[in-house]
Amino acid sequence: MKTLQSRASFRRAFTLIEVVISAALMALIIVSAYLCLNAAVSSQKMIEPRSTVFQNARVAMSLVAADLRCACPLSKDSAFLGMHRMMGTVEADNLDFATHNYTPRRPREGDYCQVSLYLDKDPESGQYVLYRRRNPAIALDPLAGGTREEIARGLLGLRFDYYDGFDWYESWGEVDRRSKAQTSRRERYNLEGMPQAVRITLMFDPNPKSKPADSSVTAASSPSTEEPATEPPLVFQTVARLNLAMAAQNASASGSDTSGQSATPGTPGGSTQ
Amino acid sequence: MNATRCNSGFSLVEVMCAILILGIALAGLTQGVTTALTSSKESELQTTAALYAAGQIESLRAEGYLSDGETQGDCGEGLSLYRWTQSITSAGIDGLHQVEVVVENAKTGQSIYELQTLLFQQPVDSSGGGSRRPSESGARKRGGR
Repeated sequence: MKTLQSRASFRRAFTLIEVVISAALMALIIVSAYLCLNAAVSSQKMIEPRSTVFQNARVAMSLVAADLRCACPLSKDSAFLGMHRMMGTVEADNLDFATHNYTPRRPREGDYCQVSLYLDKDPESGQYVLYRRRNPAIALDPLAGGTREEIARGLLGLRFDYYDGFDWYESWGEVDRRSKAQTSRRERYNLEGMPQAVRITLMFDPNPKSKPADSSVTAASSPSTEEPATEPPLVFQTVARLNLAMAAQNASASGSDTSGQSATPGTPGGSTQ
Repeated sequence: MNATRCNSGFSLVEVMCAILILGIALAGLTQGVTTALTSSKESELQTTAALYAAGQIESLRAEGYLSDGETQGDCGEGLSLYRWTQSITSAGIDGLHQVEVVVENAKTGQSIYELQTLLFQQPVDSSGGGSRRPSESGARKRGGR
């Protein structure tokens, strides 16, 4: 019996203490590894919608800027219409112009289409969506018709500023035309013609997923109204120069003495009629 | 007796070594996560700054008037984190200007994005000055009508 015990202690297994210590160390390793991975996953969750927002903003910005760089006069009455307006507390400017940045897809279309850019509220999600309406056909009303497409969603504001070579203006063109314009035209440059450049400002919601819940909470209780204030919107700003503005102006200036829209390169739509 | 002491357990040095290795591995892991976070933040800053710098150069082109020198400014509301510096220098050839726009962090002063380009402007005294400031003449014409 004694010999058996001594042999057993000679090639013994782990003692309880050893097992407990190794288990504790293992637990330490696992817990810290879990914390690290958890931090990684949660930061990935935080970053992913943000990077989507940045990607959307870049795409929207380049689409809008590409249209504006090839902008040309819209119609005889109003070359370029930019309206400043608010939807609640959200800046939601309107822009109507025509652009040559269009590839014709059907017969009787040229590289010309009428474009409107505006913000609208999506009834389902309650988010603001940036829409672009395009009408490649020559319509009687240049401000309607065509198809609209979504450019970006989750916006918190859209602003356009217009540059006439000297100053920046909040709006451009006569929204209610032929009223007071005849007298004030000499002082105000932003009533007709084309601006030299347009500054585009897009404001995006930093985390669009939490927005619908947030708005429902704000309807219920007031304290959570502070939450949007803590995280300001992501602002993107760039300037697009209207490369064809000068050509359109020179053409319309020389062509205004004659019968108007015959040979102006700015309005190729006029010649297809 | 001798044999049981030989495999009686880990020594302190062994345990310390193991914990050290573990710590280094975990520190590396955390470092990786932190680097990912900072670089994503950096890319966000650069996206915004790149758009702004490109806009700055385009508004310079729209202005149509270049004067050598260095100007600074804030990027306006909502972009209070950024500050731009724009320097226009003559690029040797008459009428050619080198434009450099640097967008930097307003708090730390660290440069985020730099954009350089060459812009040409008709020299002042070469051709009668008729087309010197195209956008200005255009605006005047529009105002006069």
